[in-house]
Amino acid sequence: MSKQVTSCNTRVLKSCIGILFSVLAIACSKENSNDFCRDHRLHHADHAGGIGSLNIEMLESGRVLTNLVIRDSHSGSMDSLDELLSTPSNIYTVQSDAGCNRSDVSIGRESNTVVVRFESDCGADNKIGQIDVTLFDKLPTIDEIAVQVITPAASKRFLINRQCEAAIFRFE
Amino acid sequence: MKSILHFFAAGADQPRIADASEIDRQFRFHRRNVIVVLTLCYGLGYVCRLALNVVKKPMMDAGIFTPEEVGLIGSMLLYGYAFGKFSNGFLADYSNVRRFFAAGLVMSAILNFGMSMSTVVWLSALLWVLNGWFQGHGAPACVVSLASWFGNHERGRYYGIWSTAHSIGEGLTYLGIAFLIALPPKGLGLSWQWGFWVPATICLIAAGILYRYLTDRPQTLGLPSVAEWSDGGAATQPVSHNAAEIWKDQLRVMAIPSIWVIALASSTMYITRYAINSWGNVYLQEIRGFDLFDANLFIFLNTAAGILGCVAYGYISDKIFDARRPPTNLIFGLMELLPLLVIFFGPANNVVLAVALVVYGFGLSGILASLGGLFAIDIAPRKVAGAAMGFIGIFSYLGAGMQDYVSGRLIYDSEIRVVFSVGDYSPTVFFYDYSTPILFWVGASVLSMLLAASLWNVKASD
Repeated sequence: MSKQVTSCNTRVLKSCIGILFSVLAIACSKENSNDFCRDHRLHHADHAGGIGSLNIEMLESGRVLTNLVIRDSHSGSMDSLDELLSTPSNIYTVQSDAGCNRSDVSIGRESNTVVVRFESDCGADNKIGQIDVTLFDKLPTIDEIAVQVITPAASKRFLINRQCEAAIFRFE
Repeated sequence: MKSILHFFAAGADQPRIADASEIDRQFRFHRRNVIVVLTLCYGLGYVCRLALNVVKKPMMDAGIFTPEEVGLIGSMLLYGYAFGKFSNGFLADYSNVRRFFAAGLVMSAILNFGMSMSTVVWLSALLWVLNGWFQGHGAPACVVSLASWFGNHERGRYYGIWSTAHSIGEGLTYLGIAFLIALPPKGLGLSWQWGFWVPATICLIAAGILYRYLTDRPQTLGLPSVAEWSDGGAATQPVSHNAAEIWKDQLRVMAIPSIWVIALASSTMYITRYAINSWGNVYLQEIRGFDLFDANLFIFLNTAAGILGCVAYGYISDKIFDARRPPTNLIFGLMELLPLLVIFFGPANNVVLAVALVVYGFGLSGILASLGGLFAIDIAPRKVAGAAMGFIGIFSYLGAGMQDYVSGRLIYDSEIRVVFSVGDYSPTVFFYDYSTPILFWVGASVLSMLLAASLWNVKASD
């Protein structure tokens, strides 16, 4: 009985090892090596000066300050751009429990850039759940933007690129 | 079924070896093997338990699971482990621990493979609760083996040595697995699935080592009990391995009031322990801006310090306080709590953070060795060490499991999403606030210290 049990155990062990190596072989064959979005963070510095930026800061008081910088090469016609940017909801929308009041919009030009500042007031006790940014849909000439978002608890910097499903972090 | 039960049953006592020098030689040989194999294999097997902690953030960032879902899945492992440690604590007292422990590791490996293929919450939760149950084979088997081969006045030291296995396993996970997943140049940038495949492979290797090199109780080799051997062969009352007597003693363990206080103290300590283990690296990435590798490296600092902590605890409590655990519990409890305050409320300085994590890990590891089992084993009869360990364990891991879900839920409740509409894609970036979970984690540590301090006058039995 004991020899039969040992033999069975050996067969089970060998089967497990066989399954293990089969899975590893399948897994290795599916690993993608080069990927634009995964590698782009290492090459961002090559063109960093040519893209715009979006800064969103959420204060503890409930105010949301947004600063958008667009390079002239992406801005298209000035008149249509001013009309677009003067309506904050064309660029972003804040979803919160109790809604937010839109207030100031200022549009300025510095060197070769258009600088837009928005401010929304959501109230101190109003929980913000989501910010929807529709910038890429409204400005089709923009391919990439550098973003910084600051909340009362955390801040993150990342890139949004039209070719990538996810944000790109840790860029250089 | 009968052959399976027979396979796992403890071996029968063999006729006593007559030659005293041969007995000495065999004890020295097997005791060395036992402590090395148990420490190594428990540490290796740990990797299959912690894998999710490292791949948690990549999975959340990819939108596979929310923090609440990851917390739920993580909690299922801990509940499975709680139940497993309890039931397996009773089973281990009757088992051939070599086969028992090895079988648990093989099943844990298979379940880790399964996790690599699941992106469905209920399936991952099911796989992970089973993984927890099979991981629960390890500690009771180790404790039964330690209690069989090492006597009371040396058990603290050897338990401390074995407890370094927690740190070994955590180090392997937080450095080794993180290296696989982290982006270059700090890592290989592999997909999160590798965070399950490699631990599974490691567990299978550990099972092989255990099966080959660990031995059963001394009596199955024709040796006397360790108490008889360490007393120089003086005649002692034979230790019965009668099942009915063992069961009665196991039930008596649960009637000792101090065992319940230790259980609650351990439970609250485990809240903090698993908060740091499960969410610490995520906190460092989300709030302190660390990358995946550095976050796990810093968490590893606390586990590395733990290697010294549990050895130091065992030595200090045995040698300086004559096997009295409460004074040492207080010292190590303060070493755990005060750095915790620095970690979460101190300056944003990486050197200060690193030092705080080291001291925290040192203190926590000592407390882990005591409240996690050593203190309870001191109080309970030796032949039911497994049951005492299991009883404490179930409370400890219920606390840890509850923590994982509660922490995940608290973190998820603070979520702010920034969603970009980019043609066919919707890249989403998540933001969280850890203030409320941190109060929960620190508060648990304070409560644990107070409960442990209430047992100041409890003495060990032999």
